[in-house]
Amino acid sequence: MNPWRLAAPVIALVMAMPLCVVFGSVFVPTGETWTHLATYVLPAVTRNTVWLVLVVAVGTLLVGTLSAWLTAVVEFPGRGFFVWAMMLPLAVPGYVFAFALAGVFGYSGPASDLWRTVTGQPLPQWGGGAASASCLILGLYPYVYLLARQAFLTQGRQSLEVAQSLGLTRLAGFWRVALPLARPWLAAGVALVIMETLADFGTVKVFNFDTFTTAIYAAWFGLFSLPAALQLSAVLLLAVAAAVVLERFWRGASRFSAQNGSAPQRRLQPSVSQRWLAFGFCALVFALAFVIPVGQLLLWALAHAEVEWMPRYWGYARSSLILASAAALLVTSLALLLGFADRHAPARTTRISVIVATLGYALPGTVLAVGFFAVIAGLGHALSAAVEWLSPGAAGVTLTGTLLVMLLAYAARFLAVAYSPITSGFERITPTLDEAARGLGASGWRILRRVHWPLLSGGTATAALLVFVDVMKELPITLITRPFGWDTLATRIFQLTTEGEWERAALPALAVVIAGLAPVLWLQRQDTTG
Amino acid sequence: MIRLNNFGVLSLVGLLCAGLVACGGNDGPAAPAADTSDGTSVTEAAAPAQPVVVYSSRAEQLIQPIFTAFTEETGIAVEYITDSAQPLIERIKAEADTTPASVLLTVDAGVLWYAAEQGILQPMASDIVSAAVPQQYRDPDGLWTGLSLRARTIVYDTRKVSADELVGYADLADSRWAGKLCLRTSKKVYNQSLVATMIASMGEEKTEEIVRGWVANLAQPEFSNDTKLIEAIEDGRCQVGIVNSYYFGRLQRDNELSAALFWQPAELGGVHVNVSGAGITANAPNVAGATALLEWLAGPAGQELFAGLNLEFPVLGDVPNDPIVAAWGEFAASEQPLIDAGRLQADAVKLMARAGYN
Amino acid sequence: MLQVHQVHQAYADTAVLNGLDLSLDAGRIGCLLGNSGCGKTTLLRCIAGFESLREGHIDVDGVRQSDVHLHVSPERRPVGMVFQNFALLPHLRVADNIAFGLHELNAGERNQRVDDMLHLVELADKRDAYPHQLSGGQQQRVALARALARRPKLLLLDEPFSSLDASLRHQIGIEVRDLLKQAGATALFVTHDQQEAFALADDIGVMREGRLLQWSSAYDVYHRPVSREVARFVGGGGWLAGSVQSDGHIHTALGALPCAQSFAPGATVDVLLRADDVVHNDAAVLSARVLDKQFRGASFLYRLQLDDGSELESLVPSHHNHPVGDSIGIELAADHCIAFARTEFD
Repeated sequence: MNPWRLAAPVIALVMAMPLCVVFGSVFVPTGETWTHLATYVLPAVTRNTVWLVLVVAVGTLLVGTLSAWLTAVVEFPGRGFFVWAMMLPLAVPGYVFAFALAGVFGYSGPASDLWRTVTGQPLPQWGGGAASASCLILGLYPYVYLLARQAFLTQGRQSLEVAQSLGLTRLAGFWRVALPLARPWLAAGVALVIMETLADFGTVKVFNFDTFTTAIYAAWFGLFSLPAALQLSAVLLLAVAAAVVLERFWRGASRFSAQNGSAPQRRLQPSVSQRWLAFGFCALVFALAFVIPVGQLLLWALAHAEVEWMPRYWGYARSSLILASAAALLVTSLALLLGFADRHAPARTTRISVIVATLGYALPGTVLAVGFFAVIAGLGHALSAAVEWLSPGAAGVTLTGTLLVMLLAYAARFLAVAYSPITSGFERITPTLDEAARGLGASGWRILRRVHWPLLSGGTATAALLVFVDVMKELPITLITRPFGWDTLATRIFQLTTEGEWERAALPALAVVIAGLAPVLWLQRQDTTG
Repeated sequence: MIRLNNFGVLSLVGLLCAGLVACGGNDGPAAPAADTSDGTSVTEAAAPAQPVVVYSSRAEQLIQPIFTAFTEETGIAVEYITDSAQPLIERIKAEADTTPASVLLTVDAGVLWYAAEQGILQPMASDIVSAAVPQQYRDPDGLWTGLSLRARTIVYDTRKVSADELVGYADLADSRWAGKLCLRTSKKVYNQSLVATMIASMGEEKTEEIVRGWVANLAQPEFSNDTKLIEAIEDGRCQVGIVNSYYFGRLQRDNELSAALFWQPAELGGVHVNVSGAGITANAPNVAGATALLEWLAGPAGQELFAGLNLEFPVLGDVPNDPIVAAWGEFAASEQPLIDAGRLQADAVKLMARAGYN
Repeated sequence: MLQVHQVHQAYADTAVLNGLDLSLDAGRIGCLLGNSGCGKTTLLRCIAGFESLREGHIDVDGVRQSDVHLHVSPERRPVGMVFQNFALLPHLRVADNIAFGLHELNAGERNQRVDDMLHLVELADKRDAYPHQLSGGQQQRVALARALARRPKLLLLDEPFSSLDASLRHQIGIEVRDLLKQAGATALFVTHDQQEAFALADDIGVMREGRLLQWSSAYDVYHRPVSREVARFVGGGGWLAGSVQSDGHIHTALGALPCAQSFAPGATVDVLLRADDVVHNDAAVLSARVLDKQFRGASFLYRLQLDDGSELESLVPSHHNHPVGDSIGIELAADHCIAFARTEFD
């Protein structure tokens, strides 16, 4: 028995706990509530959600791919800076991003004042849909950027030269070779963006744009029907699972791994005007996605620092960092395990397990958190009962409120985030590479260390970075599973924003951004020294 | 590309596993709670009694000073976690008889009603509470009690509208307010409670007519929060709206406002109020401490802090209001039992969806 | 077909190509032979248009492609390229890989051309396979077919066999040569492997440190090297001192050799004797001691030492198996000689 065959199903089993709760809800009758939702709510939110997902997917694909391609392949002023600067928006939580941009571009914001001074007219305000979509694009494009950059770096310049030697212009080569070869990376990045968009509540709430997720919360919080909320989540998950399966099917037998190591990198040298065009694009994105919102946070934070600052912030920051680092390690290791399982036991059970284990990312955070908590609590009760039966009078078992459970819940949510870059790394390890290594007499462990790891380390570091930053920003799971005293920067933001104290929340928000910058900069350092 | 040292990664993974086992072993309520704002714990010196664990959906900055004062006065320590109300209720349900929570502290009558419905609260046997808190702000079976009142009332632009033109909530559906009304999203529980009490007092049909009138009068798409709504009135984009008074108070604290509050008179039913409140959990491990906490909160000291911290109104009539709040003048609060707001909340949500109120 | 004139190229002030000249006639297969780092791949990339020139110019089919001011972009050059690792597009099937550069053709012509190419490289049955489903040799042929499909005036091949198994190289080299000849292609490839160069090329250029040491037919590179450097690099062998006789023959320890080169009578020269110039004959007058031997199947390559200490190589049929240390009879079997005058540097 190949032990790898067991790895994926075991991981999936743990990660699927909240999914069991979600799909279990299908058997709870919610007739009247469903009729209401189906009549008055679902048509509009489905339309809105499909629109939002499409716009955000296309937008992040454009912004992320273009900025990745420019920084990876083209020489232009400031390229070295933008390589890592373009990742920075990752560190800004979506809910913070939305309220900061709303602050800048809202009616009473500085952008609006400036516009009024210049034109004498009020700044045109976008509808909730357009505003949500722009915020999500600016906040989420780094997922595509990071993965696309990996792709363009590994495929090297040779793919473009192939196209040119076959009579295609550089532009045509980009479309017909560089992009298609980057497809698994782009698909992985966009998949993350789509799942994040589907699960987003923070942004659409700020702009009051109704989506499937707001409908889930409305059913739960407004109609007091958790079963209906879970059933809506089940529909959402089925749609996502279908999309994942379709993509795999569509990819078919084609492969994307480069045949060999790529030629040494020499970047394209475009004309001067093209160089400044590239600079302008990156600068604009960076300004909108990072400088302006973070600048706004900084102003607010300074204005409210006196009220809001307190020594407890060190404790918040410590908790945030510990949780984020531990989660990054755990989740990345699990994702690597899944990757190896997929490679060494490419059975249908493995593939299904992988899909199941990574679905949690599309669930609204609170739903996943509650589902996970319910199962863990149930397990705790069962364990207590068992202990009581075995030795009456013994202390009961409490699983809830432990860090282990908290980290597992993070894993259930963020496994997809770690798995995407890692699986793209595995795509680069061609089967012949394994055979070649075995032919040289390398043992399994040696193959892992000498052959796989060097090819996987880039994707693994990206995965760890994404999980770290995501956990820094994570709210619903942290809120429900944290042990007493484990308040984080994110929960502090929650305390303030639930009371509408947006501007006071700028200080913890800024702290989250700064803490999130550290690993981004670390990754950058590795990138240039390695 | 990145090359992590293999050994380094392995040892980190090992450390992590070891750490998890250590942390997972015993992580009961060990951390000090109810810290004072300078980070020192007040619970260690004077806490011989078992601490009271509170699950709160009221934000930390609004409860932590109160708990500190309570502990100083009674010597009973308080530990708490905060989250949104529904996840907390689900958590208590899931934990069942192992829950550490003795008190559920939350905002909105609808949530309190739902918690009671879910069977996670037990009746409190306290004459002090029932004597102090008026009946319409309590659960008939004593499962929960209101602790502060939040008034949801009309705000208007004094530059364009005079108080004489204003009548009440229902009147805002009149066509003379067409293009002048601003509302917050119907997804906020405050609006759900308002509409639920309207259903209770005038029936579903009439209420729906009014809500449709509101929607027809909207000057702008629904706002995501009350503060933005008040700012829109300051900005001249709307002339009237409905907000919770304390949001107005907070803005008033730092700004000179052209907007003002209007209170619907008693003969039309008075001002819609909601409560923040608390109940003792069904499996509370510390009923005595929980009761002591609730009684203290319903008493004069607790009331002053509880309402004052957030510019709310105390449930005890005779506790002095904050000066900002006092300047708004007297108003007649609706005497409708708040339990209606909970009972009819789901109906209100459906009604608003039907009426196109987003 | 191809003219390269006085080409200079440098990266960051380090000269990579140093005044290079060569020309390749239509229908011929040229080869640039040299160790890695000699600039041969850079020259190939200059011809393909991936690098621009510091000095000199490159013409293909009489049309200027590159000079100091002009740089025709790669996609507009009548030049095809086969990359070192073949660089097949992994997401496209074999037929689509071959059709990739045929975007100027309409669908019918394109299909026809793909069919022709598949037929040429004998892979008609692999039309719908993905590259990773092919063997190395098959991938090679697809890469060739893809490059040839556009009917380039000149085909460039960068180390075309380096990623193939050693055992396959020879066989595939012959196949590729036949294929190129059949297609009537003019081709230039680079390699570091002499055997490959001899097996494939009509013309060979020996490169070293950015300079072309010699550019001539494969036969001439071997038998008429222009310098000791070329002679040493290509073929190797043993060196004997000789003195030039008045009749133009060169007198060596193994006897007199006819020599086409003209040296001043009485001059001392070094004569290169290839392993096939020295023949073993048990009845020969002269003998040499066996220093070392390599079994090559049909023959032994003996390394021999003469009494005066000079060393020679000799290819001997393998039934003549002599132990190391034995003296064996040898004689010269050369009808011409490769000799270089002694200079003070030698």
